[in-house]
Amino acid sequence: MSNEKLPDNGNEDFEHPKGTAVIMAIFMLLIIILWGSVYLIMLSRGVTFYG
Amino acid sequence: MTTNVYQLTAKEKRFIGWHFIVAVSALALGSLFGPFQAMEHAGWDFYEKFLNPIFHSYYAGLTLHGVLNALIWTTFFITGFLTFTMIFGLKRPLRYPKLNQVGFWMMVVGLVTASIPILLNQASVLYTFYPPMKAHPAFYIGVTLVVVGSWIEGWGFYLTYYQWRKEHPNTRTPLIAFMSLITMVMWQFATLGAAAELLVDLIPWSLGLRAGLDPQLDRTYFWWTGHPLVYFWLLPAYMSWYAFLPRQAGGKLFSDSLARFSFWLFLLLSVPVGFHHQYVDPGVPSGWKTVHSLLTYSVFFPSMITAFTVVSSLENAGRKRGGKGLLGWIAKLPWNDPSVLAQLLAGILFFFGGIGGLINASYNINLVTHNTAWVPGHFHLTVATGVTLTFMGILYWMVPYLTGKELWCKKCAVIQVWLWFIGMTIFSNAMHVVGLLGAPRRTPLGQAPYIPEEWAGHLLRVGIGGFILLISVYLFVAVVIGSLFTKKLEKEVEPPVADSLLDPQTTPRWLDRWVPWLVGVVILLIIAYGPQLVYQISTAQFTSPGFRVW
Amino acid sequence: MANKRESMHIDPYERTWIMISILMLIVFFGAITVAGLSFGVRVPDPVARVDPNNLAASGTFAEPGLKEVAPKRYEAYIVAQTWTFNPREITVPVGSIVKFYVTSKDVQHGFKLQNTNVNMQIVPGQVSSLAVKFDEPGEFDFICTEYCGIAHAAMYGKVIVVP
Repeated sequence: MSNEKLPDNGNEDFEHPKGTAVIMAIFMLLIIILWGSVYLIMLSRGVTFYG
Repeated sequence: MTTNVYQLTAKEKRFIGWHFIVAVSALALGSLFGPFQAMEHAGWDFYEKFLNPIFHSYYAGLTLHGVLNALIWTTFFITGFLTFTMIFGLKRPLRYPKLNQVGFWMMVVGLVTASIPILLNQASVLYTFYPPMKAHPAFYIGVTLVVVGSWIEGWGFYLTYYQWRKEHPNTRTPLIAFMSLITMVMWQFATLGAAAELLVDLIPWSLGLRAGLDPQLDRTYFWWTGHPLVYFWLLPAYMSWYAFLPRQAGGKLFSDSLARFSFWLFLLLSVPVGFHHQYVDPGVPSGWKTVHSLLTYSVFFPSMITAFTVVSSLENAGRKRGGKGLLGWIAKLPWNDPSVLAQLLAGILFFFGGIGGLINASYNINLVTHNTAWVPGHFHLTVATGVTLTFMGILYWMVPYLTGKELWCKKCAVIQVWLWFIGMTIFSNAMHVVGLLGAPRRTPLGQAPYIPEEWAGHLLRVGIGGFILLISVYLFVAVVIGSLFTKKLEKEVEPPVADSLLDPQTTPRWLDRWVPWLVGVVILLIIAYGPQLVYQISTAQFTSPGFRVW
Repeated sequence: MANKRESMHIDPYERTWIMISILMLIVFFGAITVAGLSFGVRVPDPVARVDPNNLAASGTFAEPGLKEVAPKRYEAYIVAQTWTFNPREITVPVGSIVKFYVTSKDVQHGFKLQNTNVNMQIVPGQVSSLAVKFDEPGEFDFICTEYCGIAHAAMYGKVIVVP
């Protein structure tokens, strides 16, 4: 089916979502910062298991 | 405008409308108490001063707030909304409308039955009702009826779908009907835990037919349901973001197949993750906690797909409206449309709710957040904003659709949405921070003797945020009620169901088959829960009598 | 109509996003595993069952309190009940490792030792256990973090760490 429209070239509505990629990159950065900061709080509060 | 829009009958619209009337009433009453808790934290105790003769304590109010907002507002809204999306999606009436009516009225009876003991301070056990705290039996029976009523409405949907499928053997299930079915089927699996807890343990025990319970086992039953409950709230909101919001914003759904794929993953992964609420429970081995933390991480994955797909659909819309450059399309979105605005702002705060959820789910990190004020801070971003603000946004187009009348005071609606966003940002940020500092949840902190000085500023922000939310919720109720008395619309509202960029018929067939996925759900449940359930049931000690401690 | 080609519509950007998300989750999971296995920040494991109606018969909880098991190593047996802890106060020298064993004689409670990672659900019939090392002198509140009735907000105790 070589004449079928492919998602990345045939569709008039289509454009790579560049802006979305930027927003997702910011989102990812926020995840890493916020998750990492609570992770560090956990580490700073010490150990719960002594063998 | 398209001429072949499927029309719901007046009777169907009325039936859906009744769901919304109950839902909004529950929200209106339940939300009164949320801000009272928040303002108590700031040192303004209304319970002591004004509410005491009617609402006996902070906990009577907190129970009402949790039950009415988290269980009743959501469940009634969702069953009503899904009734619409099933009928409109499949373009056919319900197969057995009487069955759905039975389900709805059973939910109403359940609501009344459960509300009476709460209002009489006979069931101040909060919406998690952990035994061995023992409420009046009517509370447990009422909750059960609400759940079973919602099942029956779900069965009405399955039978409708079955009939439609027979008539359309080769057509892809329309997206909104497909998502509605997934939501209901997931709910069916999810509520098996609560059903076991209520029917086998709590109801007989509260009636005096059983002497004692094993509270650890009941926690396991409860959280079988408790986490996917979140997804029962969330999936209809996701449906609106995937299938309605792009059209409302003037674009198309970016990927039909990924939307369906993510919903299958939600069906598969929503339920077998309950132990992540029990990381610090004494009776669950840490190995099984690890298994559930891995599965919880997996359920984050379809949410990441959703984030990308929804934002790119919005980008598609913004660019069609003339947005240029990398981010210029954002400004072009119709921010002045209250329905779109509500969903956009809901989505923004939900991003942060998602991050908090990932933190809670991260096994030992849960030691930092478990049962602290962080947790209500977190779920007020998810259910109370991601979900609730989206549902408000849906009602901003659905109320005019159902009544055929204009939305009253569009400007008030826009202000209401912004107030919610601002109030919740202040409230939840303060709750997260004070939780990290060690403040417990579900505690009238104004009375606690161990509050360090450094919490005071955050607790004040909790109160201020709560006060803004109080204004917002009653503005919402005013707009909804006002809209019942406005003038007739000249043209009926067309439900804004988005097209997808590609024809849904090109979506792979394996994304429209039920059996393999359902088998997968059962297998995964057996793996994730089977061994622990067998162990916990076989070693259970039914030693806890009931206590009334409020 | 019948010949439409079926395909997953995944934009290359979206595919990249999915891959990065998975990678991030793997890294996060690795980090919490290291914290658990190598550093010893762990969650409670089952340790014992008791009869909440007859804690006196359980031996260890017959007389709640602090027991020294080795130099600077203690076990603290604490009973949570509406609306207090028994004992409400324990005193240990700085540098001690204390392993807490907490159970309930009535409803569920919580046990959160402020500014440490000790945070446990207390369930009647079960014993919750985690340990902590006190490197600095001072006072550490342990508070009830689960709703346990009308005076839940008043339920707390403290560990006093003396030089």
